[in-house]
Amino acid sequence: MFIPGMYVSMITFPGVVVHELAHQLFCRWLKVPVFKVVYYQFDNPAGYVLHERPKQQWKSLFISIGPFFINTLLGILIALPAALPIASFSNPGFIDIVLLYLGVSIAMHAFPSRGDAEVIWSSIREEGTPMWLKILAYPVVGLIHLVAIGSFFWLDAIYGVAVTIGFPKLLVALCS
Amino acid sequence: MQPIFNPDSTGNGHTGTCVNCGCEGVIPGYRHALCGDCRSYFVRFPIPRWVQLFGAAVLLLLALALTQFPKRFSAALSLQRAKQAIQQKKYVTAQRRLQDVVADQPGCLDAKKYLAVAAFYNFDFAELDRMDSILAGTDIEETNAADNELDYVLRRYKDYYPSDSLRPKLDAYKDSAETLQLSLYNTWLQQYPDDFAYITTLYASACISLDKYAMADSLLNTALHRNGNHMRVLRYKVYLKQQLHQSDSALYFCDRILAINKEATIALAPKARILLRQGKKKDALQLAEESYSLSQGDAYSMATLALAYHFNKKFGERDRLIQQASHDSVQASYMEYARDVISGKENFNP
Repeated sequence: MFIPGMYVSMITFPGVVVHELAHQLFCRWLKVPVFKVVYYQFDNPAGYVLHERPKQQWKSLFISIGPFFINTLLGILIALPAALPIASFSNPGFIDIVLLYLGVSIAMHAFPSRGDAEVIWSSIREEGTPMWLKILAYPVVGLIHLVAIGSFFWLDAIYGVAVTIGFPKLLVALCS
Repeated sequence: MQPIFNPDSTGNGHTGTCVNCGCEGVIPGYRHALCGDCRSYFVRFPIPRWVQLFGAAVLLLLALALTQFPKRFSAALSLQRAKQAIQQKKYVTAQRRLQDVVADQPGCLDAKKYLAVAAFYNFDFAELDRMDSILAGTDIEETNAADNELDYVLRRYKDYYPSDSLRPKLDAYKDSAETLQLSLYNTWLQQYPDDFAYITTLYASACISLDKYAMADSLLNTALHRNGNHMRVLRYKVYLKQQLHQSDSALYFCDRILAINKEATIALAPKARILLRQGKKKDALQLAEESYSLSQGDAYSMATLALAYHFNKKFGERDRLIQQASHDSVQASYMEYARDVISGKENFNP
């Protein structure tokens, strides 16, 4: 089923907010000035962060892929208490459903956008970019584009559900 | 400080003054000409209040939910381990874990379904009835593993109880099963064909009571032919073979029960006694201890363990167990046999 991305972003806006906040926090941690942040808008893109392009290209890479780690971890953590009643006991309460919605929304916006990929791409094509960074960054850019295509087939949503429900189940399976 | 700098409209040209506040003292080496204060400000670009409040609300909700997490995680672990125990046919372990899950998560239907299944294999029909009445009216899904197991068990369970139409007839004989006229057997079977397993085991039991072992054996074989996993029939077979001193055959039927439920004390304890009679004292002790640990309230297991202690010359443990049994009338009555064996009144190896 095709639903325009703007509507998906609207329904899952907490994930967009966290995604942009993650970009902002990575800028802060890497001491890169931020000039503008749009946490959510009913437009395309649903959110963005305007920041100075760092002189060290690796910072661009980390700022761009930062939401992948933050959104994934936060999504898992928020859904963790709620996922067990849903996945193991099949008796979720209202708060569990709210938390799972938040967790999935946040985790499904973990993937960097095409805009993020463009930032990495233009950054690593600058002169003086270390070879190791190119080796690391080119596949990342490719992956981001692949995931962007996959999002037409709900790959981002599948990822969100898989990590939020799958992680607690994996934890239980490993501990049992 | 409010940002006045518009990065969209300004390039990265260095004019010598800060592009945001216009002051001197631009920090060199960056793409944008910013003074130290402005750079620090933009590095710590403010997070709006609504985002902070949103984050705080999420964290509050998360903190509330996390307080439930340890209990839920423990219950999920117990459920997972119970499922594993069921796969391994360790139904006593499964039942114990599932009882914990049901106590912690009363809304978990799968736990109740699996508990009913485990209770069936443990001969705990009171627990099975309790779960069945709680689960009455719930939807059965063919794709649900718990539903499938429960459905199988409930169909088998009918073999263990008389139907409502047969029950009034039985009530007339409830205090004197031994006086059942064997001639009634065929009549009842014709009248109540669905009660075949129940009627057959009932008559076999009556025959055993009347020492008509050959007849009992024949009836039990008929019942086993229809359902080779009928645990009550297998249990009677073990008893019957013990009475007939056919220890290898008794062991065979013990093992058949244990193939259905590896933790069936109705097979472990008799098997321990048979092994004791065969002189395999250490194996017998191991089984007797396992049986007792699985069902500490079971008087037969307790008496068996006392015997195993006795024949393994663990007299201290034996006496402590006998002393312990003296506080319970049922356990004391079973222990009476063990005491007689120990004192030599009863011949354990007839």
